Amino acid sequence: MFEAIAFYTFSFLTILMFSITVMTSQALYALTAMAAGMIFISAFFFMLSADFLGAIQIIVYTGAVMALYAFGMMFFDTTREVKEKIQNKNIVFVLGTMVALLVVAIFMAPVVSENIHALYPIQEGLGNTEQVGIVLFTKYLIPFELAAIMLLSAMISGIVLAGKKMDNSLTLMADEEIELMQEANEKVNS
Amino acid sequence: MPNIFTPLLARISPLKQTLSEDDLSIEVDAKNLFNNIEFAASAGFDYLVDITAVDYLSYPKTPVARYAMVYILRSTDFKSLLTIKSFIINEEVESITQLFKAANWLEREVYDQYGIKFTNHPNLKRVLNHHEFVGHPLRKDYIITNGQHCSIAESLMDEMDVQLEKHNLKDEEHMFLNLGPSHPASHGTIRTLVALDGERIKAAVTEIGYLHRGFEKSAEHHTYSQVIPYTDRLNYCSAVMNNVGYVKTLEEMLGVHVPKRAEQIRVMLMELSRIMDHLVFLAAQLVDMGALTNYWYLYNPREDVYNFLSKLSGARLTNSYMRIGGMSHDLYDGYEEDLQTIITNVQKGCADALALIKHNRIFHDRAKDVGIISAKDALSYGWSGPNLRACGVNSDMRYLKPYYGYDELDFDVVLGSHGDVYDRIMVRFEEIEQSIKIVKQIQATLIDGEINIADRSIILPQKKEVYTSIEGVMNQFKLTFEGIKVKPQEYYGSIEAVNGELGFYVVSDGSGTPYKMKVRAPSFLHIAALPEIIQEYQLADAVITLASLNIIAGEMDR
Amino acid sequence: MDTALLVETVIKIVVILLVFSALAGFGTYFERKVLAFMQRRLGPMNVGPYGLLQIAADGIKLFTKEDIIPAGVVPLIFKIAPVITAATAFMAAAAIPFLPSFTIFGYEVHPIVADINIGILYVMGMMAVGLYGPLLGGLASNNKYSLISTARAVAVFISYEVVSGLAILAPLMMVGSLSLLDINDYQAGGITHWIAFSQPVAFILFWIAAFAETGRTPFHLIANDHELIDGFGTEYSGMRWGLFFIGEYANMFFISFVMAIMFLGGYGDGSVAGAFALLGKVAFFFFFFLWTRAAWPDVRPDQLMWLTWKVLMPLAVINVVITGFVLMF
Repeated sequence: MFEAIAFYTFSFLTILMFSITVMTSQALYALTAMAAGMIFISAFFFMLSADFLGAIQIIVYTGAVMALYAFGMMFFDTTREVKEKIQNKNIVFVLGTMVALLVVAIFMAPVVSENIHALYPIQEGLGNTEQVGIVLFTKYLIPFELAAIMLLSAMISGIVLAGKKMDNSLTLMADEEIELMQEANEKVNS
Repeated sequence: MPNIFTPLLARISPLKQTLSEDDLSIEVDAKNLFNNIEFAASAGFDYLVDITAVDYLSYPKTPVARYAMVYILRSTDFKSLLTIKSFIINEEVESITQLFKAANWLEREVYDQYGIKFTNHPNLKRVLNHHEFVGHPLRKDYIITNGQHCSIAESLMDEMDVQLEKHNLKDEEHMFLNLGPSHPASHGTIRTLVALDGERIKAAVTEIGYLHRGFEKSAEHHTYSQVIPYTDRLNYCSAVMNNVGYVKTLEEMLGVHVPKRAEQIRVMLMELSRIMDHLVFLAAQLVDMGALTNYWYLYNPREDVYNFLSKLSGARLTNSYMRIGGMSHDLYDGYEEDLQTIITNVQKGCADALALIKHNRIFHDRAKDVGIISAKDALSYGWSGPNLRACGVNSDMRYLKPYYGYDELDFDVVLGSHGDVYDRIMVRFEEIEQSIKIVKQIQATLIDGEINIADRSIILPQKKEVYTSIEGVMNQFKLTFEGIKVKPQEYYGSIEAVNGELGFYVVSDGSGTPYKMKVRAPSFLHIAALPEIIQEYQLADAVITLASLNIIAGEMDR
Repeated sequence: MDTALLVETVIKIVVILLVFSALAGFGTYFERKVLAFMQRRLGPMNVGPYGLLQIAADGIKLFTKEDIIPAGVVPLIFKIAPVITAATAFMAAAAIPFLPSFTIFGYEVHPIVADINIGILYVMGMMAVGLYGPLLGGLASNNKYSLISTARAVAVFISYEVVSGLAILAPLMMVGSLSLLDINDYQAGGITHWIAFSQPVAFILFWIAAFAETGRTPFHLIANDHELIDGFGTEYSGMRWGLFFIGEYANMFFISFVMAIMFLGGYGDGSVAGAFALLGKVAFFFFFFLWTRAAWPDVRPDQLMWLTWKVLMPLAVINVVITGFVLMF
């Protein structure tokens, strides 16, 4: 019974939160609701005894949404409402509906179909964490490593793009270097 | 005549000239004013001390014109003083901002107070008075009781836009942030508008005047003795120092010398004030870095000095202890013990604070190479005192132009090398040590004798005489109501105060009240440099840089 | 799920809430006293004996103060932000074993609300969510100082999550479990088995990261009074500000528990002495937070970033790699 109550409560909350994310025109509400929705989703993992995935859901999405916040801060005055420019409402409506239908179809497929078997069935006696590990490092090894390489390259390019001035730390530079840099700056300024 | 004046007088043919010891004052024609100053600057007088104007509207002897500009310059070795005066006809002068950076704010002040316009000035607007203020308060026809209610704060964007343009920055790419007037780091009421890129300050504008009380206007309406309590409120962290600076100027104008014992007590109290002020500075500075504990380590011994001054003068903060020609009374019995306690506690407090920060990597990383100003810029901005000495320039008047027997005392002039926050902190730590040394020497050599001069036209008679003789009553009455008569002259006197050269430019007209008085406040010149120093540093650096200048709003805003 | 378990859990939750709310209050008292003694003054002395009732006075003041919602803020977010900080701090406590299990009235009590087998991950996750308090509070406040504080908060937390995460990875590889109970039992053999000795680098890195995550001196940047007034808390007053405060202090306690259990052997074999030892270790870590505040200045935000990305994170990675090799061969 508890499980049913918890399930419906969290379902309601999750849907509500994501609805707010979509409906509101206030950036701060949207971001907050999205973060809350992501955290409520983790409740389903906990209910399914997938503790590891639940915790990971929280950690990863708090970080991800945090980065979104950072962008939000840069682009909008978060205390004001964002004015959206929608040129053709029909296109938005049609595309939105189609995407929604597609998503429903994708997620309904496993429910409707009955021929789905787990290739790596749950092994008794092992914890949740270990099972995730086994699957990751056997069946999904190549996608996993590819994702890792992709992230690494993204990180490096990020550093290259953002970190051009990262080495100029006045506290770590020798006096001569600072003077050189100041001279260079003066030249630019004058 | 010192050699330094010879080429000057050969080139400039002054209308009038007076020479005394190392100081020369000349009067030149308004037409050649700029060229003459430019020449003086190239001939060794390259330190601008002060700029002010005099309004001769109600002066007894009617001069050539209503307004005169006064420029006070100092030679490179700080030993000779050159005062250039010039009567101006049409209330317009050429600005000397291109010669001295300090002239920028000093000329703004003259414009603000006297309404004299400076051509070619980059930013001629009010500096001490509110921007809504109508009229110019230091003009003699501005009535002192004529108060005005000003309410709307300035946006400062007019100055900021100039700054942004100068650095090729775009308005919309920056966040503008007001540091102050009420901000924990402003230590009083100073407002700095900064343009931030992330946390980096790209441009800054400083606004002062929130504590402007019209000291100079008030001084014109009080007798010379009544001004003494006002001087307490200039640098309120070291009130005695201002007392001495003021009375010393007056004594020099009157041509009197206080007895040796009075000189010694003055030096002792000045050095105690220096210790006290430096303790406040260090405590506040370190707290601004987050080093909280130092605050109490340094403030507790300051409390001892306050208790000592309170016992001595009856007041903790605003002592008003000095009188023209001496001081209100002698030291109390048993002061030696209190002095000993102070010295012990100050040394302990400083040692403890130093132990916390001296080898602390975080402190070094925060303070070193932050808020740097080069010696050249600092001199151009008219900096003085510990802030200038931190840049490695020896500007200590106590050493270069000794007064009150400083030449007989053994002490070191403390110099920094880099002109950063770290140097400003450490110079002050060491100056406390040197001041203790001076106090100890004074205590050992303090002679007995009078503390006041015997001149009855300057010093009030004993209370016994006042109560028992008609001469005494009359003497007291005349001195109190008419004030000390100072024969007509214009004089600039200065001392090495805590923050730097504290000078008083006094114009007397023979009556008992000053005709004009201008304070050369070191903090006013220090803060003018702030916007330039904090550029390209982080917000956190700006906070400690502001603290490291030891701005005392009472002195800066007057 | 039987009713007994439900009742037990609810009781545990209530007890933890009450104890740690009170402790957060006492934490402020300890802090003021400890700092005062280090700074040669007395601290609170007037309310009650030795100022003990000062927290009650502070509490009454905070509760009865007018709750001001300034104009121009985003009201809803502004209101819930402090609740997030306080709530997540206590939610993190759910997976922390505060004491060894003991028997009372013949009923065995496990002083842990939920013994999930990924305990440490859950605690870290919840503490990360706690960041949403300062973040939302700062963004909703319509104040530039709050905004800068938020920017600092994001930068600091994202960076130090990385360090603390990588730092605990090495000990977790040794233990082979994410459950705090397992980690504790791993070190049950006495002082020589403490992870602090086998993983000193991880211990120190995590400790440093703990300072950054709780925002204590020398990493007191998010609400640095001298620069940002009160950072995200500038516009708050009364109990909403108080909730931030409680959250901060509760976090200090919980992270002290985590450090004591992770690295200093926790409650050891579960004896009474072990229980007291755990409390002693927690007290030491808490005291250390106060001690640094009295002794050190704050670093600058860019220096903090430099420290994370150029010193601590490489160290943590190297530590993980070395641990991996040692475990493998």
